[in-house]
Amino acid sequence: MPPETITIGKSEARKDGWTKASGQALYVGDIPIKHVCIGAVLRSPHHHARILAIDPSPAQMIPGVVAVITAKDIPGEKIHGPLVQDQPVLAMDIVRHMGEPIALVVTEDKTAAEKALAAIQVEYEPLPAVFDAEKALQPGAPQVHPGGNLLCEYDVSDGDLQEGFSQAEVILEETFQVPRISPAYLEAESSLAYFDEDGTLTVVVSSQKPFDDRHHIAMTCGLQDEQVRVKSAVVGGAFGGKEDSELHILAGLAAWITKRPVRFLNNRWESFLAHPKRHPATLHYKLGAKADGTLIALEALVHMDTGAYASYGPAVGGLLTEMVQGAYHIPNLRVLTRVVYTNSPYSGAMRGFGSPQAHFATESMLDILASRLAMDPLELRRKNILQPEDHFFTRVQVGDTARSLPLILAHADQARQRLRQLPAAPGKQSGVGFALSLQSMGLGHRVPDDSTNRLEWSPEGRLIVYLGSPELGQGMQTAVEQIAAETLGIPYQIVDTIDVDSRISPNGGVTCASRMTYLLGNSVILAAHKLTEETLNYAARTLNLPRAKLEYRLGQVILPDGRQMPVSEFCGRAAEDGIVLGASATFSFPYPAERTPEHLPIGMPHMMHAFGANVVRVEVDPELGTVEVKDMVAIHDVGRVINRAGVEGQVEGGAVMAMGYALYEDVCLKENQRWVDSFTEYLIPTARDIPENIEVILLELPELSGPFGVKGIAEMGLVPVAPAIANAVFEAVGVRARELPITPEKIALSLVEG
Amino acid sequence: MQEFDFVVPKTLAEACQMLSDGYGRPVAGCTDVLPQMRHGKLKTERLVDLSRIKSLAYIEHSNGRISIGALTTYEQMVTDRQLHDYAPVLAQAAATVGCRQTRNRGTLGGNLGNASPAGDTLPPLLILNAQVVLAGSSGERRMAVSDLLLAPGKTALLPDEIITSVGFEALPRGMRSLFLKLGNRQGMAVSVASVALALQLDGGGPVQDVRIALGAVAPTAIRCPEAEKFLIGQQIDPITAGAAGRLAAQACAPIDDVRASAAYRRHAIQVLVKRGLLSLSNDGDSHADN
Ligand SMILES: Cc1cc2nc3c(=O)[nH]c(=O)nc-3n(C[C@H](O)[C@H](O)[C@H](O)COP(=O)(O)OP(=O)(O)OC[C@H]3O[C@@H](n4cnc5c(N)ncnc54)[C@H](O)[C@@H]3O)c2cc1C
Repeated sequence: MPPETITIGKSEARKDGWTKASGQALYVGDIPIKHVCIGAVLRSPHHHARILAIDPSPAQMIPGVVAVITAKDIPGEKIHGPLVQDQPVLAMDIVRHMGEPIALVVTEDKTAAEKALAAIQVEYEPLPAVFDAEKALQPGAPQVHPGGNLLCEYDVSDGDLQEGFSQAEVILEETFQVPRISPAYLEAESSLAYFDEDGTLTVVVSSQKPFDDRHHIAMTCGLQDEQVRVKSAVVGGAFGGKEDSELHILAGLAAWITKRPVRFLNNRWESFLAHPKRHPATLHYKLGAKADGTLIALEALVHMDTGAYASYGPAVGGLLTEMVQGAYHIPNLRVLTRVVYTNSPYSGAMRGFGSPQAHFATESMLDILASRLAMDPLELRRKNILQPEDHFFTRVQVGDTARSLPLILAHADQARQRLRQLPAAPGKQSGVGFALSLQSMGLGHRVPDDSTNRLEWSPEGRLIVYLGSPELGQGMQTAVEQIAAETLGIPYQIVDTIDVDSRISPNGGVTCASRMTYLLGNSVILAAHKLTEETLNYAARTLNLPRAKLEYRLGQVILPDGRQMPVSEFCGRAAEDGIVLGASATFSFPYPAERTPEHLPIGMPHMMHAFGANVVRVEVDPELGTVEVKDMVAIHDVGRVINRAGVEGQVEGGAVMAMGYALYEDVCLKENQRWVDSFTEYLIPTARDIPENIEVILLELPELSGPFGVKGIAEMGLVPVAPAIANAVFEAVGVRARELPITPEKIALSLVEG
Repeated sequence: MQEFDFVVPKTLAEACQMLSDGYGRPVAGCTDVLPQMRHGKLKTERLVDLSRIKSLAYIEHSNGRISIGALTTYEQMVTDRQLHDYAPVLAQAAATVGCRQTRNRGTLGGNLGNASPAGDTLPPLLILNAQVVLAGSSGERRMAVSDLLLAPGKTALLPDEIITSVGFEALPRGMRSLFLKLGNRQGMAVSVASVALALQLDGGGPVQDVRIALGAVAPTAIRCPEAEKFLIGQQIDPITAGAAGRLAAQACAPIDDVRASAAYRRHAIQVLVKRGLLSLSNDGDSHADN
């Protein structure tokens, strides 16, 4: 049992809970600002076309139009991109996907904006388009960018494949297909730009990385970073989809050119077409095993459709490659991943970052193997799980985290047995399936992976946390406040967090990669120790006592005679002296040289991992093919629970999001050559679709480098769910889904035919 | 979204007058109209809001005839006891529409006026042999629901006509009815296929009367005379029910779209008709689920 704590492990109430539940929280769309103009974007109606001419003049004559902006009005850089500079701020000569921005209108009201968008004259020459990664690599395919359609390729291997397959007694080959899906957050992308009291261009963003946004805005406007101020608004969900700066650049640019406050709020269809999605992929697997189930060789060839622009595609490709191995020891392993440009809406970061795609294939493949060998899928896994002394195929040692795997399997087995007892509703067939999962934390080797944060005592003795990374709604601030409170021995209730404002906040980096509680927690602990030191130094000076005679304990300064003085007394005095008692600290994700292979591509390897599993019971209608997820048990090793309700919320939310991936969602091209771009056709799970009870079992095997033992949880809850559902469907009706989403139609028609 | 005028008549006569120039469009809950205008699928210069004409929201029952005002919401239909007694199939269908918010705003007249092949009240109204009452500047007329629905989004309404009510005979005593809906998820889904059935058996035996209508599998909701004819005098069992299902599947003319393929829709109709018949012939209570 972990020792008694002040706040760690408790389900403390979130401080943003009340304002959100009561509708007072200010999202970008709610921020009151006088005379704010409407910003709207003219977007390409074509998948691929040459722009022959743009004539904004008819729009400029419309009453209420302040400005019409095209690429030639951009004072600074006209191209941007988070990893690869390939994305025009506004299209110049070519549009590469439907929805690509071509021009901006800034108007005094909405009607003028609509009229202005309709009035801009653009002459296009449509070009042939390609929407499939494999087709895009064939000779003669339409070229999306001058350098060819292959954005990047990873070829990572360990062992000797040929040797491995020659020892195999069973060899299976399968192809899996996963769809493009939308993060489908409640709040679509939004941005508000204005000039603050001292005339600084200020952009309020709904974003995961305000400081990078600032950089891109400044570059586009031809300014220095310091000439732009960014602030984080309340964010209505992000899930990776708000790591791209596109809309913030447009807002900053529009305000900078017009010198007027301008607000951009994407429509839902704009969010579907012009912000990143989860990569669709085709994964071809060849798996070799011994007759007793021992895995011996795996070769995977993966094609990912990254769409028209790179976004985070190269990084997602890297992590997907790493995650193919899953939780298993496979001595001979090669993964070849190609990230390919097409004319689809672009894909980028999304919760799981390549891991859900890889897991659907790997965890389905294991069940296929089990059924081929007439083995229990759980026994097959038990035989092959990674051990602490094993290495991943990136050559990183797995380490202590693998000790969770036997426990996870034991919980999964119990859950499986319990769920198998439950009867199916009349006319339905019940099936129980499960899958294991591996997820990494952090950005990967040679990617700057650190976070700087600051703590201060307020004059009245409250602790103020200046986080350099935005809260996205996931509860990161609450966890960090609990860590700060625990470290300083003060109540959670007297800790406050200041939202990111580049004027006063340290640069804490991007909120992403299941790393925030770990990273921020560590940096806050370091800062807390410095702050204690700072506080005692000040106390010693004011009390005229030697520093060595004073001690700090639970918010009190302990005097040599044992008397206690609350820190608040010193805070007040310091404020009168014009002194702020504060301390900053930076924590960098550890990539110790002796454990970090050098020969891998940038962003590889990841060093920190956690394992989990999901067990589901589905009921399938054997005639109609409909699948209902009736019960779910999620088992995850999180290292240490900081806020129990928060962790359970992440696991449940991830599981429900993954149900959409498994059963409903696909941003696909319709017969009329338009994308599915609204919630009328793009279905996500509703409250009536999700299991009444999602049991969350949290294991706490501490990560020694983590704050109080924390690993990470934000993505993991999602990762094993889709293959667990596919495996359950197989148990229920004997249909193996090799393609997501598993629609009723696919099941019913294969039962009718099969 | 385009600019439009929004006018609010207080009486039916006023509403007809506001539509008489042919440039307006009547609206009730706007649950179809606003999304369609946002997506540019519907253009109109004037919306004539009927929702203040309270006299058009009612469910009446007299001498075995039911009359429902066009402005009656789904929620009103779901909670009306008489409807559950006399035409349970319609109450069941109303309960499957959208979510609570949709059911609070959406109206029966709107479902008819929208004429979507997937409109969930339409198959029940077809098996109830319902008639609509229309009011226009040139007076009142009546027509069968089957004549009102012409094609997706198309009705036989004249530009200045308003649906004022829908009427039908209560189902005969002993005739059970059922609505089955298949969507792509449990909550708030557009029908991929739906079936409305009413069945009367002679004693516990052969079929005396049967009515079958299908939704979302043809340009409009349709009746299935072939399957109905086939069943008269038959004993309902898995074989006859299956055969009726196949006849129903032949009667439909579904399309492929993102929701489902034509092949699956046909398959689903066959399953739903078979199940519906078996369920109605087996138990005393009719119940709606899929
Ligand atoms: C989230 C959501 C879920 C939905 N789910 C379903 C569903 O499950 N099943 C389903 O069937 N529908 C569904 N709908 C569609 C819609 O709610 C129904 O069709 C509803 O009945 C429309 O009624 P309304 O009063 O809102 O119509 P409006 O939008 O006001 O009008 C619809 C059409 O009917 C015409 N009209 C309206 N009243 C009259 C009248 N009295 N006389 C003549 N013409 C008239 C209008 O001119 C317009 O063409 C859904 C809609 C939404 C937004």
